[in-house]
Amino acid sequence: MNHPPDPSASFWIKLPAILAIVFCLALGFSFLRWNPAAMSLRYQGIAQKALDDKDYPTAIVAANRLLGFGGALRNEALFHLALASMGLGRAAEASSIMAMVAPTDRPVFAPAHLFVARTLMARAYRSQQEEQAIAAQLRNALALQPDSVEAKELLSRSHNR
Amino acid sequence: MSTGEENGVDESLSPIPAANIRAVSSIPRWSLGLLGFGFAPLLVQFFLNLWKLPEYQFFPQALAGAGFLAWDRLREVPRPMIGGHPALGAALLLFSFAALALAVFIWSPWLTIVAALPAGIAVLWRVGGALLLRKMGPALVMVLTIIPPPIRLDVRLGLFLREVATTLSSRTLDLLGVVHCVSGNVIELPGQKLLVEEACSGINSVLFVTAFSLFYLFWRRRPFWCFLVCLPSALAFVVMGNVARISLGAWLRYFYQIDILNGWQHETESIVLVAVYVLLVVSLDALFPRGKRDASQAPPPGRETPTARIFSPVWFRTACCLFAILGVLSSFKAWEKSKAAVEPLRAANSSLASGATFSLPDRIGDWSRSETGPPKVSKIETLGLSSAIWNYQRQGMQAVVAFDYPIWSYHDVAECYLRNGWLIESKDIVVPRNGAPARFQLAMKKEPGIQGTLWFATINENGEWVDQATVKHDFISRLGLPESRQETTYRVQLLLVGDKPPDAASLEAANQLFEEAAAILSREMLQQIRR
Repeated sequence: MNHPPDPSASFWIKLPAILAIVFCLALGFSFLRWNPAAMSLRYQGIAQKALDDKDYPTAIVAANRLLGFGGALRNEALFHLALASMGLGRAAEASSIMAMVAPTDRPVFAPAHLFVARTLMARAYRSQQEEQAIAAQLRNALALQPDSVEAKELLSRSHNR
Repeated sequence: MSTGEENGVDESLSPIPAANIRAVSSIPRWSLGLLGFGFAPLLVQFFLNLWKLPEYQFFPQALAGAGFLAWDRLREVPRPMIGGHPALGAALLLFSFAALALAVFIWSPWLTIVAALPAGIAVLWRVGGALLLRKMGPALVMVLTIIPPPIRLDVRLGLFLREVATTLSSRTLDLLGVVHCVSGNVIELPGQKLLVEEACSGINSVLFVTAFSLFYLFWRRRPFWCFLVCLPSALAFVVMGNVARISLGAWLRYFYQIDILNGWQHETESIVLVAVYVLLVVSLDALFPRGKRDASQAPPPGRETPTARIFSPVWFRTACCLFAILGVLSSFKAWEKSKAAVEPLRAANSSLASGATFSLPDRIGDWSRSETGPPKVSKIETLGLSSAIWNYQRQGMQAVVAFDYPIWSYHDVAECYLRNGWLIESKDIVVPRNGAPARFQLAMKKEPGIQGTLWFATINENGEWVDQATVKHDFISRLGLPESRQETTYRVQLLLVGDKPPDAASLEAANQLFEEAAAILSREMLQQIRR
């Protein structure tokens, strides 16, 4: 049987493998340099900006990605996720997530406690139960951020009412 | 009968009488025919089953490659051939016979091809000894590439590759500045989801490219170290190729709203990628330095040995007859199975009356129907052509009951949940003593802080709950040897979600809901089946 001519003679036949190896090495090298801390900071910024721009689909994706990194930014990610879900009209989902970061019985994430308190205070008519919830949320916020001027001010307004 | 052939005495130096040479050429034909017939019914079934698996649909090419390599190398074996020691051939045939008998008994097409290999080796050994066996080695290795490994290792490889492809694609998308998140095998972009499916995982390409690499390297007669370099490199090319495809698709979708990951574009990409992998294997091979081994490309001159051993002694003919008896038995069994299979095959399409409907009451025990289900993020995973879904609630608990139908053969829905980002913490089989269906119970969790408990059970059209049979494995079943039952099934599942794991009372209540729902839905299904 006649075997085909040896392709090693041609540079061109070697070129695809050389390029593929270079591509694999470059990609592998960039994967090794991938830094989860830097990436989570980047997604923190993306989520915040998307919320500011009312781009809720992007905010949801960014917050979910932030959740995947875990660690210290988890509560912030959940808060962003709740806000973005609210923006998209997913009220049930938003409230269940908000309950994780702003429960009344313990301090978890100060901005979330403040947000819930502000939202409740924005209502024209509030029940006794809601008043108690506002106070509890603000106390939780102050437990986490004792110097928070906003929390103190809202708490005094709540007491004066 | 005692010949030099059988007792291993070297008769090769004495010329074979003409009568014996005729015997060499005439006896093996029908003996080998009987031997082949022993395997044929189950081998046919094996290849029919293999054709149903997309990742193995290259098997005709692989077999053609094996045939080509065998033909290529056979020409180099000096004639007449010198057979190996009969004891080894007999041992291999005995092993093969035992394996085939077991395969016929438990009806395992997979075990049949495994049994066929030692039989083939035994024949090669008897015909041409170590030299012929060595020459046929590449062809045998090619055949190995089309045999799915036991205990579903190929499925695990597919899941692993899918995970790798998703993770590396996510890293690449980070480099490309695409905002995304990953949940299981789903890459989520703002407002859209990309499911990294099996095809994208590269499992189909991996098996084909591995087979092609082996064929090409054997054909080019490369030394062993070339295989060690080329095979892992080919695997890396396939993984990177799929990462590039997924990342490019997501990038185009994110920045330009161009979809290349579905429809004809996806099919075209797959073909182009396979062509690229083939080119890369050839190209990589060209990078290897050419040593003295390449000189062996030219076939060595045939060494004419003036003698040959008598090929087909009595024991070999007897063994072939025994194999043929197994062939008759398996033919009969296959005929019976084909008769039995006619009804379910027809039933798979039409047993359920068209427009069949299923309903559950507004209240089941303490549970009452609700219009809204749990948050979208914790949705139930359905698979059948149709799925009916009901939401129930009870004291702050939310449960979703689903009935998926029809499903061809058995399907483990846990894989769907895994693929969509659920982390399965435990998976148990529950076998109640009150006659309620055996069911799987899974404890799962998913971000953001969702706890899920899933129950599911599968019923066939005869009203048999099949999960218990699926999990009550003996050793042979665990290896995945017997052919899986081909039938139409229906699945009941219940997903209980909350932000904390359910307590014992909640689990009990959910179990009762599941049992009630399963009983009602199975009754409705059986009533609506056309008999």
